[in-house]
Amino acid sequence: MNILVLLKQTFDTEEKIVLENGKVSEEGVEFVINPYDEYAVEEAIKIKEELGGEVTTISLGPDRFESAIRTALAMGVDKAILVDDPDVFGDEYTAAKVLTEVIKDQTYDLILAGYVAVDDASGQVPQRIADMLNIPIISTAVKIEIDGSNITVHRDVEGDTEILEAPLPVIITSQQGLNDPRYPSLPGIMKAKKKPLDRLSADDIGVSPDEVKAKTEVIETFLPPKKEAGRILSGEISDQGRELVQLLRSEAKVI
Amino acid sequence: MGYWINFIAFLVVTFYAVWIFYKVLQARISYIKMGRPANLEKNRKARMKNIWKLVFGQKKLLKDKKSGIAHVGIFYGAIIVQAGAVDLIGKGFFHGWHVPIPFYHYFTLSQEILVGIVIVAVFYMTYRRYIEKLSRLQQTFRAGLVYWFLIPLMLSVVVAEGAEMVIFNEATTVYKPLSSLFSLIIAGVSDLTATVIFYIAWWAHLLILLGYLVYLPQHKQFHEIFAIVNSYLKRLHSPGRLSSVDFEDEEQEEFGVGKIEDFTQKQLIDLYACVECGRCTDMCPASGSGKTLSPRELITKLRDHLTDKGSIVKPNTVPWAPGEIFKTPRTYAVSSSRSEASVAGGEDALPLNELNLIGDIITEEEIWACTTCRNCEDACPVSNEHVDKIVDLRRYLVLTQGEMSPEATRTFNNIERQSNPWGINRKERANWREEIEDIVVPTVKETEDFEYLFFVGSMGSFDIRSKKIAQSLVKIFNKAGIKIAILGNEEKNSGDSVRRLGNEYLFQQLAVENITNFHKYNVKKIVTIDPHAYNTFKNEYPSFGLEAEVYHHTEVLAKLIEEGRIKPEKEVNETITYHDSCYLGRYNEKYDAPRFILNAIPGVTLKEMERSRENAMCCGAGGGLMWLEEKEGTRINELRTEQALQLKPTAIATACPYCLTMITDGTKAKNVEEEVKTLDVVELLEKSLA
Repeated sequence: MNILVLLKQTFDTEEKIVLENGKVSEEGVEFVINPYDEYAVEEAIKIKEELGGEVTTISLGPDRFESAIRTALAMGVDKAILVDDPDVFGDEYTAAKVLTEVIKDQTYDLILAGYVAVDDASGQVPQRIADMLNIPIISTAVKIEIDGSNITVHRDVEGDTEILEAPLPVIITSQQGLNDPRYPSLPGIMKAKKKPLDRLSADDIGVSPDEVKAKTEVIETFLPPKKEAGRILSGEISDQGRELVQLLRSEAKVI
Repeated sequence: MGYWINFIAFLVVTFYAVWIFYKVLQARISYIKMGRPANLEKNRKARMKNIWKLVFGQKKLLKDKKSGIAHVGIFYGAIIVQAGAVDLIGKGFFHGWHVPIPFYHYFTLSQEILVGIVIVAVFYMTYRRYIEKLSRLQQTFRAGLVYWFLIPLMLSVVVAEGAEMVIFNEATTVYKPLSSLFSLIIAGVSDLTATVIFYIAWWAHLLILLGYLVYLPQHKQFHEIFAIVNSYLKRLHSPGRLSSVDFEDEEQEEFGVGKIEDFTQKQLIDLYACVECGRCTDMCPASGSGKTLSPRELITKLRDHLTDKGSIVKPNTVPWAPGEIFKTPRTYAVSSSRSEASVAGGEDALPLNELNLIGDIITEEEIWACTTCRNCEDACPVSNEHVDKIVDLRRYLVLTQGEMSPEATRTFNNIERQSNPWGINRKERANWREEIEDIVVPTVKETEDFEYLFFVGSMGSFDIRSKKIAQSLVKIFNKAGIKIAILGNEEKNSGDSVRRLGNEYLFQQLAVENITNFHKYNVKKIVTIDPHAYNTFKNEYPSFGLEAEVYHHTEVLAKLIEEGRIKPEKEVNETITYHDSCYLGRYNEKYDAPRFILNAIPGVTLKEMERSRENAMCCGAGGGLMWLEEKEGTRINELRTEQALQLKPTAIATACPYCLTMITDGTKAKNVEEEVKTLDVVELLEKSLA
């Protein structure tokens, strides 16, 4: 069972977003494996431990991704591929296109990914890849069972569970609850330093920057307005009601 | 002729018994040597002092007055009566001989008195074990076997002596009260009968003595030797300092203890020193709240595993002799089906030495149930050190195997990333100070002029309730004119929980980062509200280079009161019981400062719980257990809260943010949070200041 895991490095979920010159500042930020991708990594390692095979992570992003990749390698991933060529960084389309080209050169039975990345939260890339590879996708998995060449997935559908079956190969995206990612052991961390990490450029994967050019454009980046203190109305209930309606109309402009 | 038969039989029997004793002892010593060499401090004077205090003074035994006094009787009685064996044995060869010492009649008197004392003590111990059924003692036949050696051994002295008195027509004398009594009983028998009685008693004495010699190293009675060795070898540095792992060696593949040989030889000596008295388990908060962990079973399971494994690894040794008549039944329950097969000796049996130390012998539940409170160590009369063994096992699970509960993983990840156990943004660490009006708490960047660096700790910085402790303290310092500064957002987690949960690697990182900051900002004195940080700074950070004085806030406050720099004047009308923090109390022997402060507050009535000071029960949060789920048994914090509530206090005082959280949760669980307040000592003091 050869498993590919799509892995992105994101800000730690507790980081505060700071904008500098209209861009999100990375100054002094703590980076982690995208938490949903971490579930995917853990699940891949668990499946490998049970059925054998090899786990490879595939990432697209800057050099700093290495620390997240090394963590995955320390957890038990066997090897990693990082496309770190800024010429092929772009939007979800770009990512899907580039990753698909990398995946095409691999042999695999299963592709795992987080259902969403906690930074830009588009949740599109695995679906786009499934489409480009023309294989099925099951999203937001909370339980995965493999029986020969078939896979049964329990997926979270907004609080309910749906059970789906599919033949391999398939892409599955992970939801919280799939597992508890492990803490890398010290020998794991030591070994991870020596595990192969392939850095690929646009040339290596045979795509031209033009053909994967982003189809969307970022016009402006801004922080949500600061939450203002609430107001408690006072007086007679009927007066309060009247005032509320008026405020909703004149101040909040929602009615 | 008879004389020579007797003499040759004596030689044969004695030689045989001594030989067995030697082989069995040698086996155990060779098993201990399987362990890693221990690095012990050299200080003969301090070690001899421990021998005087613990062996001859029987200090720990006397913590249980009743059993302790009985043991003192047996200890001194048996030693001196054994010396008398020379006298008795000599008499078997040289008619009418006695040890040539002046005032021999006083010697005989002392012998007879001690014989009496030992007999009474043994009967009392039998009563304690089998009739009073003291819960900490095991009621099996084997557990009390030593009693059946001692009684006939003592009686044989009296019988032999009494028979001799008849043979020599000695008049009864006050110097031999018991023997005289026996001589009266058999008075009138022929010389021959008296001689036969003498030799029966003589042989009985010899055989029991030699039998005991053979039995001793194969049983918990081995403590008679190893408790002394252990009292000598016990650690001399603070118990608050765990051993460090050296990560420099990149070739290392294993960290912590994953197999019995990974323990140090000193740790293995502990196993044979155990006398199974159960004082540890009696005090253990995990055992007391229905967890699987029992410190006694921890030790005996490790001991039996060591003997089992040793006898297989070293097939030429003799663990049991003669045959297996003295073999103790294995104390470890063989849990997994795999190990059942191997013990049963089935077809696909695994040899005993392939049982996994973690999993088959000691379960993970046991390893994670310890709060590291050291109540077991404090109670142990043979100076066993349990806590570092638990931490070594945790180190193996965490560092070598990466096996731990999801909560532990989360705690480590959060501390790694944000330096606090909740994973709250590290840049919000200093926000607590903004909640105090009028008082400015500067960071070390904002001022160079400070006496104390106030290490707030993760609890004081982020936990809503604990922030109030930090705030009370800075208000009092402000009043007293004490200049302080904080590290602010540069402060890292102290690493106490991390180290005690077995993550030595992360602990050392945190320690080095904190120490670098302390030195960078020229910190000379550190004060903290967290006894865990206090302990690790005071006892562990110096190994990583820290040079600073470390104080717990109660120490500084007590001094301020003493010097009159703050005056508790307002009445605080509360009946208070003070709950000792393990890391302040048992680990660092700071019992008086918090009590001094409470007694200085007008209106306060201080009541002591039955378990207080060095016997205080843990709140349940130590050893990193604050961050783990407590699934098994009853909750430790509720048990401790119940103990406090028995005194009907109006407030329970603590000096540790962890304890405060646990006890507050306890009063909530008992539905008394309205009637019984839970406060840190500093908060009570603040109420009393004008």
